[in-house]
Amino acid sequence: MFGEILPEKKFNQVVASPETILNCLCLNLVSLLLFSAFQQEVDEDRGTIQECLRGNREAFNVLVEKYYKKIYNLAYRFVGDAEEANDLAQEIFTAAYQNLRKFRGDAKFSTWLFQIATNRGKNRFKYLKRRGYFANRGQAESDDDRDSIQKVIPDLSTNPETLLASKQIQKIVQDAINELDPDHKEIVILRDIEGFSYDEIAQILNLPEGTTKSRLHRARMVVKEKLKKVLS
Amino acid sequence: MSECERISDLFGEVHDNQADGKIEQYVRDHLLDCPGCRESFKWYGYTVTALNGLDRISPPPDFLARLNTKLETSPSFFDFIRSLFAAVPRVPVPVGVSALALIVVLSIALYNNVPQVPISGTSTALEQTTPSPVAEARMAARDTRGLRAKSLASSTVHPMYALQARPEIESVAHRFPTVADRIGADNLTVESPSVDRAVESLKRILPDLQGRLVDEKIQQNMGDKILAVLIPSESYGHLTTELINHGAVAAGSADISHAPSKKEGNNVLLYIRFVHTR
Repeated sequence: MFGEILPEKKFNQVVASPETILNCLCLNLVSLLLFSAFQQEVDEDRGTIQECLRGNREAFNVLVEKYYKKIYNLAYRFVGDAEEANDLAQEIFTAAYQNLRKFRGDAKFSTWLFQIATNRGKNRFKYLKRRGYFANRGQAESDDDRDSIQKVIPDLSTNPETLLASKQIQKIVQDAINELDPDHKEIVILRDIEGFSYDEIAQILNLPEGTTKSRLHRARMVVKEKLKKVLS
Repeated sequence: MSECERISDLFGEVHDNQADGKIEQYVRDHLLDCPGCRESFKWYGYTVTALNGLDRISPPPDFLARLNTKLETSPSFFDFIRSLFAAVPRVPVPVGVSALALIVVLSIALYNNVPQVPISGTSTALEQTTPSPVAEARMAARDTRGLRAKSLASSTVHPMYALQARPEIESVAHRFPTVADRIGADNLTVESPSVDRAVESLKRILPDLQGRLVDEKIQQNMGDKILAVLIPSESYGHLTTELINHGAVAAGSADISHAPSKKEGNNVLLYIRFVHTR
C-alpha cells in the first residue's frame, strides 16, 4: 500500500531494520529502569529493617541510634517537659519496634517513624491537656519568674537574632506552642523545628500541601501574636 | 477581605520563598506602601526565626539503656491499659454518661429478651410458658380486669395433650423458671373452655403431687371457681407448669377476695382461680 504512495526507494528508507528496532527497545527499557530508579525514593534503612525482621535486635539499635535525638526533640516540643518527653520517645520507639512487621515500605522508614511519633505526640499532648497538665504548670510558675523574663528582654531592634535565641524567648515560644491546638502544633514542629519539607510533611500527616501551608501560616500567626505581646 | 488581609495570608509563602515571582512582587510592593503590614511581616519573620532557633534538646544519658530494657521486656498489662486511655480521643462527660446509660439500658433489654428455653421438637408449649417479665407486664396491662391476660398456650393446648408432654416439662422445669417461679407464691388464674374439666384435672393430679384441696369456692355471678390447694414446695414448679399448660397466667391478688398464697413450712398454700374462656 505504501508502495503505491511512495516510490520504492523512499519506502525502504522509512522502514527501520529489525536491529534498529531492537536497539530502540533496549534503549527505552534502560531509560525506563533508570527513570523508575530515580522516581523511587532511596531508603537507606531498608537493609537494616530487613535485618530487624529477621530477628536481629542489634539492627533495631542501629535505627534507634540514628533517630533517637530527633525523635526526643520532637517529643519534647510536643509535651514541653523533659520527663514526659523521655516517656513519650520511649513509647514511640517501642511502638515502632512492635509494629515493624506492619511497615510495608511504601514510604521511607523515617517517614513511617515520624508518622508514629506525630500521632503519639499528638495523643499524649491531648491527654495531658485534658488533665490540666499545662494549666497547672502555668500556675506553678511564680510571678517572679515572669518578671525576670520581662526584665531580661532588651530592645529587639538592637540584635534580634541573639535575642530570639535567648532562653527567655525560647520559653515564651515553647509556651506559645503548647497553647496551639494539636493540628497546628504538629505542623509547626515538623516544619519550623524539625525542618521537614512541605512534601515530607504532607506524607507524614497525609494532608494536601495546601492544607499544610495554610495550617502552618495560621499557627505562625498565633505564635507571632504571643511573641509580639511579650516583646513589644 | 481587605487587601492587607490578603497580603497577610501570603506572608508564609513569601517568607519561605514558595511564592511565584508575581505574587512576591505584589506583596513587596504592598509592604513598601503599608507600614502596618510591614511591621506585621517583620514580626512574622522574627517568629519563624525564633521557631527555627529553638534549641535541640538532648535526651538524658540513660535514654538508650532504658529503651533497651523496655524493648527486652514485653509490655505489661498496665502499659497496655495506659496506652489505651492515652490514645482514646476526648469524649465530653455528658456524652460519655449518656453512652454508658444507653449501654446499661440496652444490656437490660437484651437480658430480659434473651430466649430462655432452648427446646427442640415437641416442647413448643414450654416455650410459651416462659415469657419474659416485660411480656407478662404488657399482658397484664392489657387485661381490663387484671385476670384475663391470655397465655398463648391456653386456647390451643388440650389438657390431655399437656399431660402427655409431662416428662419433657418436668425435666425442663427443673432447669428453667416458670411464670409462677418468677412471681413467687401468688394467685394464679387458669382460663379454660371447660372450668369443670380443668378443676377435675387439677384434683386428679393433686395426689401425685402429695398435695390436697383445702377449700373450693364458686363465684356465682361469673361461674368462676377458686380452689385453695396445699402442696409441698418442691411440687410447686410441677403444679404451676401443669396449670400454665391449662392456661394459667400470672396475676396479682387485687381482684380476688381471698388472701394471697403463702408458704407454710414446707408447704405452699396456693389459690387458683378457674375462669371460662371469654
